[in-house]
Amino acid sequence: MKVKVSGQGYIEHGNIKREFKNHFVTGGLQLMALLFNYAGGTNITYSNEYWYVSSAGVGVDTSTKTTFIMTGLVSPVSTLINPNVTYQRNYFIGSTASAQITILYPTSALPSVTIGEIGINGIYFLESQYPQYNPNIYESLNLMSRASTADGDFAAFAYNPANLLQITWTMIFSWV
Amino acid sequence: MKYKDDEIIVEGIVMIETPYKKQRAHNTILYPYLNLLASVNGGGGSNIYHAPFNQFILGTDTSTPTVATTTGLTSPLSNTQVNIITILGSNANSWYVQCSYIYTGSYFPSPVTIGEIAILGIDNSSNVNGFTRLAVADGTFTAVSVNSSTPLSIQWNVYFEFGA
Repeated sequence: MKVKVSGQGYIEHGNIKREFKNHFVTGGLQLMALLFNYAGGTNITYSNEYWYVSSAGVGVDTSTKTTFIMTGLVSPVSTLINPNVTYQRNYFIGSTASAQITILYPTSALPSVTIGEIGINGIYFLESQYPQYNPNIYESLNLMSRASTADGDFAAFAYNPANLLQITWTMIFSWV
Repeated sequence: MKYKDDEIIVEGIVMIETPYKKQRAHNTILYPYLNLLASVNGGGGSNIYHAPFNQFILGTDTSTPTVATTTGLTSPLSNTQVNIITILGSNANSWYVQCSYIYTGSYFPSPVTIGEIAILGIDNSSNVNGFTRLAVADGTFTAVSVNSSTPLSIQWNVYFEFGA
């Protein structure tokens, strides 16, 4: 059996409620492979590694489709924020393990723009190198997945600084 | 070839070779690994300790299929639990981890039939568990007979690629 990794998203902003699909990029593949390549030594007890869905961003581009080699949003408008993550799993065959990532922008977090792209980033690092988590020091920061108006994933929408913006992205891991 | 970028497929392919026979087989990914993949713990959250693919182990069982709750081998040979060498690589639309080890005949002082093989790692509960299993009982490879004069080479590639 193989494992299939897929994603689905949901935007909530005032009266705007939209589902979206995502597009993985090679940075997402690389993160997963990095984690399972043993980078240092031969002692199993010293190989603690991490990968996180660490941050998210939004952008205003509405015309550029996602390609495998993209490493970031085309026209980002926000600084990266750390999302809140809830984690669900199920052990039984025919079921899935999943991780739900919730990204919450407070009111006035962004200027009044039209949002046309969303990106999810991940990081990977070795504990032996960075024993204290520090978002500014990492082994690898990759764009993992992007959703965009240009890909037909969601209709662009106007950001209203008076409203919260919540983006929920669920990664689903299932046997196939 | 057109790829589906809305999904990633994780797949293992194993090459098993003795001086007498070479086989290529597909493994079964076990749930400790599935759950570890899903441990996309958020920044600032609690840490999850785990380890990558770094050990092989061989076993003799030939009749127990892999099921959803399998976490390792049914009849492991403890002296064959070894640290392995891994190499990270990439192709046009995939990344992969290549795990390899050559067992010399000294691991098999008495003749034995190998019916199951696993990659071990540390799961997200800090336990050593099987991440993948290859089993004769699953119909994915043929049992291999080895003895003190038979080296056994295993190369196990785990691919992370876009859906096809």
